[in-house]
Amino acid sequence: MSKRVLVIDDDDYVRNLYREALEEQNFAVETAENGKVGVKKYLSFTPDTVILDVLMPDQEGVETIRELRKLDAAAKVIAVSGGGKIEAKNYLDMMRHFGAVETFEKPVSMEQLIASIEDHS
Amino acid sequence: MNNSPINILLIEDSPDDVFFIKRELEKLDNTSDTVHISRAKQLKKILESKHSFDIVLTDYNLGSWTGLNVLEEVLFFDPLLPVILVSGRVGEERAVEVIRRGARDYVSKDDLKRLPEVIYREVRNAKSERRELEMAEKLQESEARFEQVFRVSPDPMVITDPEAQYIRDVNKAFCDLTGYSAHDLVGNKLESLDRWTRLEKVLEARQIVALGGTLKNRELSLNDKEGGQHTILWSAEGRSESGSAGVTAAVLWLGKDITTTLQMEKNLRDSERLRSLGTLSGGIAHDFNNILMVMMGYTEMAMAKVEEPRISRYLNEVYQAVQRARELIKQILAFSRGDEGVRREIRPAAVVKEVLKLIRPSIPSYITIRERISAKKYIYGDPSHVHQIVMNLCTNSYHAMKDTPGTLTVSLSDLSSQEGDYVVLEVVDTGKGIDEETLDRIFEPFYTTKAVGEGTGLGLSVVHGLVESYGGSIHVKSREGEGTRVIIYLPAKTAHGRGDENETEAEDNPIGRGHILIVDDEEEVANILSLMAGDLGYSPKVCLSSEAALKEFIRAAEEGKPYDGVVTDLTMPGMTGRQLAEKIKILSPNTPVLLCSGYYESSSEEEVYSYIDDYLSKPIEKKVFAQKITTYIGEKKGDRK
Repeated sequence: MSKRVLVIDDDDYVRNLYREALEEQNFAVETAENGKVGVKKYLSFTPDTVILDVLMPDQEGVETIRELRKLDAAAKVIAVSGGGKIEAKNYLDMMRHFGAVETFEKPVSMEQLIASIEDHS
Repeated sequence: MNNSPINILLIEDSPDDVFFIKRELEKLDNTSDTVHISRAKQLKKILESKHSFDIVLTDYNLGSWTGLNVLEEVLFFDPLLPVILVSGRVGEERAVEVIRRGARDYVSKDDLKRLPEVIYREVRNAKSERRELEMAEKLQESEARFEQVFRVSPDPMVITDPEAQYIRDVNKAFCDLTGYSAHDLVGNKLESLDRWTRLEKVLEARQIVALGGTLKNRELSLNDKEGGQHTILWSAEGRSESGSAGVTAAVLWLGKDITTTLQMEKNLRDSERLRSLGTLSGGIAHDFNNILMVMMGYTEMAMAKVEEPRISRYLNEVYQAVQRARELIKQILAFSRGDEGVRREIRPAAVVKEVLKLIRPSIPSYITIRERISAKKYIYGDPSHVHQIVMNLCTNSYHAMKDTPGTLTVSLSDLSSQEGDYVVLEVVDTGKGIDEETLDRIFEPFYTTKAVGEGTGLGLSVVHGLVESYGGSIHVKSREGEGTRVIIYLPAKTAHGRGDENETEAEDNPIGRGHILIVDDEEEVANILSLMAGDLGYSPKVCLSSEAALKEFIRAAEEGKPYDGVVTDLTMPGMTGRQLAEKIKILSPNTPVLLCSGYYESSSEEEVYSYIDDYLSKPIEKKVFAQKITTYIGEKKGDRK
């Protein structure tokens, strides 16, 4: 059975990229445009891995990862950040603090990201 | 003729002569006024009285006085007041003597009809003499004023001949600027001065002035004695044919040194540019990285599929361009943010070693890297800052040695001096070096000597900014063709790690007293906060939910032992930290509430502030916790005595 990946990112184009690239590698992909939808989809879709953008307007990535981990202490979250008011690295430190299995700064190579998903699922 | 009345003073002791003289005086056109005194003794008094006289007529023999005495007295009073000797036969000799001593004329009493004409003439002459004298005085005054302006003016000034060939005078400002004395310059040709940056412009300006033209704010720049260039605007007026003849015996060249103004304007422009860049970059970085991500992702996917080598190469170029854009965004963000980072006690030696390990693979093998790391001291800083400093310097060095084999030496050593303890970072290369002009500008943002796309011109500005924010200093020495040495001094922490002011301040914080309620659904976090609060002297109580916390808060208040403050987490199942804070503020508006959050949105900050006293960002540092909690909770500093 193919592995399931949930992508949570507010950028349409980035979501499409993830979907195409991952589906090409035979992953089953679901996407969500914000943290709230993401948390709901996590429950219905039960993914093996979550790719989470850290800075989203509706629900901050930090809040989202905490909720995901509360719902499922074993949730495997790969955090990705493009930076913003503070450096991406600082967001990502925070994400690791809250249990992200791996973190990347955008733009991240899909090859690396897929390798990371394989590693952690 | 003269139309104004003439005031005459007549000194004559013979009433008959007075009669005859007055008869002649009546022939004057004007309603002239004659005051007559018969005794010379009255002279001084009448001269000093309110009468003013245009002319004095005096007899020679006046009892004990003579005309000579009168003359002396009058001229003493006013050297320009004309005195006419009107006398009987006094003899040639005496008349000549009186005139020699300053009388204007001698009129014989036998020839009184000459008198009006003499009076007219002498009054007229006296008037024009007075005018001339006044003008001479004014001229002198204005010359003195000019002299003063010329001497003390902070603007450079030069006086040349009308043909603008030779320097006749230079002021102090000009001497200070050029480093030459007036003695060195006066008498030389204007263009013989070796400080002009562009001689042809001087010759052109000279030509204009020599032809009677006017220069207005014409830029003729000068180098100062240290070789620094000064932009100076010159104004000068040549002698025109129709101009006031004879006045322009020389040309004044007025300079205005606008170097500082230009520099200030440039600084202002730069800082405005940076500010807008900062605002902009924070806003667009996230979106931009998303865009790059999409470009990079699809390019990668295309590269994996394509078989045609040429297209593969094209795609590779696109991929490289995306990488460059990514680096650019990073640099701009780092520069514009100027963020404080998370500073703590670190050993820079470890960071420097790490960076060198990291860059080794990217540096070609014909460049030898020497590592001389002996520093043991600590600094107070953010490792990523040190990383950035070393990385940027090494990158520059590598670029400087790109085409030829060379050596990159990175040393880190301790330095103890009277001024304090430092960790000294030196990055030395044997590259092409930096010319003087470039050396002046290397810290300017956006200044780069690299080709478009190879450098942003931000690297060294970032380094400079960071080093300054650490209270350190940076020195660059370079010689063209020989290499460059960058030396950075970073203040070291003192032996016990107590050198930092902030930390001392934290140590000095009042120890807290009072009951505080700590609310967090994560037991581990709650316990850590409780331990920290206990260390500070508070009596903490932990609740693992908002509901429990609210109950506990009400219970304590009813028992007469109310809590002095509340520290609560934001995100909890059920009632959130914000809702809890709101309820507590309704029950007890003066109880301080601090909200802990991993991240809060700045847009909702104001709304939240109405019932939150302050925020604590997770992960919470003990120092910050101590500062905030003691500010709000427990006895105030002022109450303690």
